[in-house]
This record gives sequence, C-alpha cells and structure tokens, in this order.
Amino acid sequence: MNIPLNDKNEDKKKSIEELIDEFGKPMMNLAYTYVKDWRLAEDVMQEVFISIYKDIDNLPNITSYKAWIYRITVNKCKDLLRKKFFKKDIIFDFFGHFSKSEKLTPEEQLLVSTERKSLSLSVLELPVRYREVIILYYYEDFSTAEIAELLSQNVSTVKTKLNRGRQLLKSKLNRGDWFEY
Amino acid sequence: MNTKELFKNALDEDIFKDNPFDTTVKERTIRKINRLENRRTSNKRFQLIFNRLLTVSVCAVLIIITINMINNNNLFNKNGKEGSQTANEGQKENSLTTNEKNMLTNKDALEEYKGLPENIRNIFTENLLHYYNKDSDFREKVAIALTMTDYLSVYKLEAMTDKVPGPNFNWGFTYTNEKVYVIGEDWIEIENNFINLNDNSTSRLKEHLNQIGKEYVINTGELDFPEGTDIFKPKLSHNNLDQSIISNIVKDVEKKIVGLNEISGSMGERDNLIYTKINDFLSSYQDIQGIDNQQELDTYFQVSRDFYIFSLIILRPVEVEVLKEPKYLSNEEQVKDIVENYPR
Repeated sequence: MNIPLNDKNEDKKKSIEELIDEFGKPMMNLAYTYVKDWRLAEDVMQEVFISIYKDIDNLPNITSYKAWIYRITVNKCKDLLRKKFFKKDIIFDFFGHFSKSEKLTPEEQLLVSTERKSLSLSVLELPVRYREVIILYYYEDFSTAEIAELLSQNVSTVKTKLNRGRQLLKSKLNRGDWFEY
Repeated sequence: MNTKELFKNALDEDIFKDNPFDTTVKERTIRKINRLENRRTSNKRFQLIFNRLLTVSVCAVLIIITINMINNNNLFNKNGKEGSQTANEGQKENSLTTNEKNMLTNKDALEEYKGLPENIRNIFTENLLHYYNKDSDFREKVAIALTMTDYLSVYKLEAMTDKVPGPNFNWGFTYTNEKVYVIGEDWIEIENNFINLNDNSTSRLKEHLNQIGKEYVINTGELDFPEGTDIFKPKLSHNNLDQSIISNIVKDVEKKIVGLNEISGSMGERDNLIYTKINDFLSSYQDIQGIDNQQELDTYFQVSRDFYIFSLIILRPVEVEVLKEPKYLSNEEQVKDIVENYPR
C-alpha cells in the first residue's frame, strides 16, 4: 500500500484517514496486548495519529508504514505503562485503598474456560518483554530481524526473548508441543 | 493447523474480537486531529492580533510610565510593601507544597503516613490529590515516592529479571542495548565511594563480584497484603515453594557468604562505605542462611536485589546511569526521538 505522507502535494488529512483505515484496528489490537484495556488502547491509537499529524511536515522517508507505525505504538504503550503504573498505585496503593480483589474480571472468567482461551490469557500474562516479541512474531508475522529493528534491540536478544517466551508459555500451558520453531 | 494459525485464532477469537474499533472510533480520532488543526489555526490568528495589541500596549505603557515617574515617587515604596506580602503568602504555599513533596520522597514519612487514622489520611489525600492534579513536578515526585522502595524502576526490572528461580537457577545479567537507570541517593554515594577506592581494591572487588554478583533472583510476582500483616509485598509463599527452588536459593546464599567473606578479607581500605556495605550484605546473608521461613525468603529477595544493583553499579556490564530521581520521557519526546533517530 502507498500512503504518501511525504508527498508535499498530497492532502495530509486524507492520508492520515487512510492510515487510520488501514492500521487503526490492528494498532488497537497491538496496544491492547500492552495495556490490557480497550479504552487505553484507543487512547494510544489516537495519540499515535495525533503525533504523526503534528510532525507531518517533518517526517522521514517511510518505506514500511506498518513497521514505522507499530514502532511508535509500542513506544507510546510503554510510555503509558510507566505512567499507568504509578497512577494505578496512587489510587489503589498509595492513598490507602490497599485492598486488591482476587476475583477475575468477567472477561478473564470467560477466558479461563478452554485451553485455547487459556493460551490467550497466558500470552497476556507474560512479562511485557516476552509478550511483545511473541505477539509481533506469531501474530503480526514480523521476522526476528524486523522485530529487532522495531524494538531497537539486537537480533540475538530478540531470539533469546522469543525462546524464553515460548518456554514460559509451554510451562504455563503444560503443552510441550506448542510453540516449537 | 500450525502454531501461528493456532495462535492467531486464539487471540482473534478470545481477545481481539472485543476490539471496539469502528467508524465511531475512527471519527472520534479524526475529530481530535481536527481540533488540533483548529487550535493551530486559531493560535496563528491569535498571534497576529496579539502582536498588534502588544505594539499598541507597549506605546501606551511607555507614556504612562513616563507620566508616573515624574509625578509619583512613592508608588514604588507602596508596591514594594504589597509585593513583600504577596511573596510571604507565596512562600507559605510553597513551603506546604515542599513539605508534601518531601514526604513523598521520604520512605519513613510514607510509612508514617500509612499508619495515620483513615479520616486524617483521607484529608491529607485530598490535599495530595489537589497538588497531584495541579503540579506536574508533584506528579513526578509521586512517581519517585512509589519507586523509593524499589530503586530500579519496575519497567527496567521486568526487562532484566525472572519471577522465581528455576530448577537450574543461574540467572545473570541480561545484556541489552538499553541503558539501565539506578535511582536513589544511596546508590549515588556507593558510586562516588567506589570511584575513590584505590586501583588494587577496585580490581579485587570487581574480580569477586564477577563471580558472585551476577547471579541474581528477584521476586516480581503480584503484590498484596498477606493475611494478618500490613506489609505490602509479593504474594509468593514460602510454604508453597518447590523444595528444589528453596534449595537453589540456599545454595545461592551460601555462595554469596563465601564470596563476600573473601571480599571483606581482601579489602585493604576499610574506612570506606563500600567495605561497610559489603559487610552489611554479608551479615544479611548470614542471617537468612537456611531460608527457613517466609520472613527469611522475603529478606533474601530484598538483599538479592540490593546486592545485584550494587554489583551492577560496580561492574557495569551494560551502560548504567545512577540518578537521584527518575527521568521519564513524555509522549512527545518519545515520538521526536523515534522520528529523529530512526529514519526509514
């Protein structure tokens, strides 16, 4: 696909609309795997597009929109997680509302019923460093080299994390046959 | 069906099916962008009007000042008095804010705060909330407060650690390109004291730490208040832990004790914080040698973390920066960084 954000003659707003059509939903999916809340995922998606729009006149040459947009989304999510971490703690921990519910959310209750569902839940329960690599590799079909570029890490680091993520999933699911190369 | 297909199906059907993205969400996003655009345009218009008004005002003010300077010598004295009153009020408010901020970055004060009766705590909380909403600097202080008991930020910890030691526990530094930020004044002191050690002590310390300082376990499990206590901590229970894990932890403690004993004996310079710290670690590990109960397990994780950070600062297997307070990038800075530093 070609969304010529860099073309001076193109209607920028139209280009952004095309980007939203193409990537809005998958971006929200990706953001959800980090923030685990659809409203926050929508906020992330909107923030990404707003940032792009703000800098639209100074964008570098973009060869792969998907990788570029995913990279911004991942960074936004991590940024939000840092903020979310202390905001959450302010409300529930710091200000004296320490009780933490052991109950699963209705969404989680639904998820634990079947093995397939337990796979989804297990993926979301993985630490972020493994979760992001697993999602990008298995769901988004990025290669390890592409993931390394997207996350600004070494290919070997990505491979290690992918391996470790697989091991964790296997142990969580008690399924040795899952997540082989 | 291969693994990827299974994986995709599971996520699509269980998680992503609830994705609320539709035309409404799309329109909402576009509306936000339009609002941004309108704000930009109105800002330009406002700037034009503002410039004209400014020119006229400057002329008017110059005329008024000239007339006043001639006629009213006492004006400055009077204003000076009023000004000092305003400054006093400002100082009062600043000192309140400063106190609250100090409390937030003081671990003992935070503990005291938790012990206050609930009604008093709630009043105080409102006050904190007020500043929290009003002052970005204050929000930063809150973030610091929450990391006070965890000098490495949780995000960085997650990138480096495992939940519990596995059967073949031998978990070392994870080498990544990312710089590690260590936060806290105590660690700055450690860093400064290490720099002041002589070359002989430095190389011996590094040699020993290379053997015992790199293996590291931390419990990053879910946090909660265990029943009957008011300690907020990871939920991991000593009673439910596999014996092999306990035995690995015990082995680690023994190894640390031997290593720390060697360091302590070999250090020539004893009038130094590093020497004191080494002996503190040694006695902490000696106190929990058998990992016989929950308390010892909790202490182990705490000491393990502190010793790891200590070794990290000294060995620097990755780029390490020791800061008094954490620094976070804003969203805008993140995007700017990506756009500027990762051209496609």
